[in-house]
Amino acid sequence: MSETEWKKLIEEIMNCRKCPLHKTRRNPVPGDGNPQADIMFVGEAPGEREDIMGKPFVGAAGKFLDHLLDMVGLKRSQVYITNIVKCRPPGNRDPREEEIEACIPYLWRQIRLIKPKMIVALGRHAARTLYSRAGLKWTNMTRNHGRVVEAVLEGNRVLLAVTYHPAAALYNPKLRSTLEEDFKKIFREYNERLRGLTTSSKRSPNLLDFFRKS
Amino acid sequence: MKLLFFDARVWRYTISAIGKIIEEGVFVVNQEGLRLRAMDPSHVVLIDFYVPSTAFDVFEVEKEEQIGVNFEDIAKIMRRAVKDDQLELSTSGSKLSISFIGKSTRKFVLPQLSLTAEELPDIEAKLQFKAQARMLSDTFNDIVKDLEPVGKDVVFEASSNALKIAVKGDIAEAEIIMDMERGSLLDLNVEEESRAGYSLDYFVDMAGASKAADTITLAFATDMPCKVEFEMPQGARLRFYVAPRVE
Repeated sequence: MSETEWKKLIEEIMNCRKCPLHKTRRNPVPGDGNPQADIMFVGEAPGEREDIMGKPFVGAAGKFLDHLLDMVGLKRSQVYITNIVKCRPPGNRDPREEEIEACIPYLWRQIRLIKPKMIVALGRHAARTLYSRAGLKWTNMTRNHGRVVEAVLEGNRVLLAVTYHPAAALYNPKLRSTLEEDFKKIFREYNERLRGLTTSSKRSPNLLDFFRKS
Repeated sequence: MKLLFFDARVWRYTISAIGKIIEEGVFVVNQEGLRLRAMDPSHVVLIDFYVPSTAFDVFEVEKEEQIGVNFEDIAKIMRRAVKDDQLELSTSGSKLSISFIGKSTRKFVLPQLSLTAEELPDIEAKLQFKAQARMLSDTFNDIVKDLEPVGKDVVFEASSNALKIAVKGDIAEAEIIMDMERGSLLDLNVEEESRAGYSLDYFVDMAGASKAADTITLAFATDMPCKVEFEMPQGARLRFYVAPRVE
């Protein structure tokens, strides 16, 4: 990865004034972790604590994310964590369409530079945005959580996984175990499929593979 | 366009099963009949639903129409179909009307989505199934119910005289042996012994369509996609093609 380009991108995010969110933010939140990681997590938008600290997932939801990472043997320093929108929407409202539109090119550039092997979308906003960018049809979280699909994002072939946003488990404790199960499944599949992708043709094919056969 | 089908419940169960796999889709209606072909987001399942024009009691189609629908919305309406209801589908401008004609006529109108039908190659032409087993749809439904609590991956194994369906979970495992001798299979045609695994989730989703069909046929070959065909009244059919999980 070009360090210069990465620094330039972070600097642009730190000085961004492309949408009205820059007027109310304390700090932009470009992301956290290792920009050379194989795994990226993409959430929705910074919350109050993230806005103060300038880092993603540092509040209660962040603690739960740390627990989930720990459970699958990962540390923050081994992954890269970011959001679809880099500045906090006031009152933690959902980001507006025009805010997402203004901000999303930063995420695409992050993906192009990091070249992750897997992207985990946290929550339906992130999932829908990433599915749409990959040209995949998004149905809903109930149906897709815990799933890992192959996708092409920003010219890179990646595994795209989807689960609930960790904050959802704070409001609905039943989702806690669902998220834990999803993480276990996603990373089990990641390990299996990555082995298949890199060493042989052992990955499970999809129907497109059979369409291509003559 | 105006179509009348004799039993609305066939549509109720079909649409419900399809809606578990895809969110949106496009019905193409032309002189031949009505057809929906779509793939799920992960490209693991292809759905092919076809109702020939002759299956309808009324089939008034002037020119080809593409009707984009959200399956969650349409499934909610179809759930209102009860015994002895006929189904009438009609379009007017950008609206789709769904009417249940029974003791009363209940009409629901919803907007069509501006979608274009996916252009999908003919997968059937690219596959050679080496094993085919036909069974009552109730049998298929029972098998799925038996296996669902055990694990996530199902393996089909066909030999000259039996079909073995097995699931291995973290804790338990289950195995179902079916053959023609004991009547669990109506037909078994094995050109070559075959073994293939699939994600059971999809079979759970599609099993809901069993209530709309008399029989189903499973067709597969080693490490190749599986075709599950629900044979419905009046020559209608619902096919699911499922990509294999390769161990």
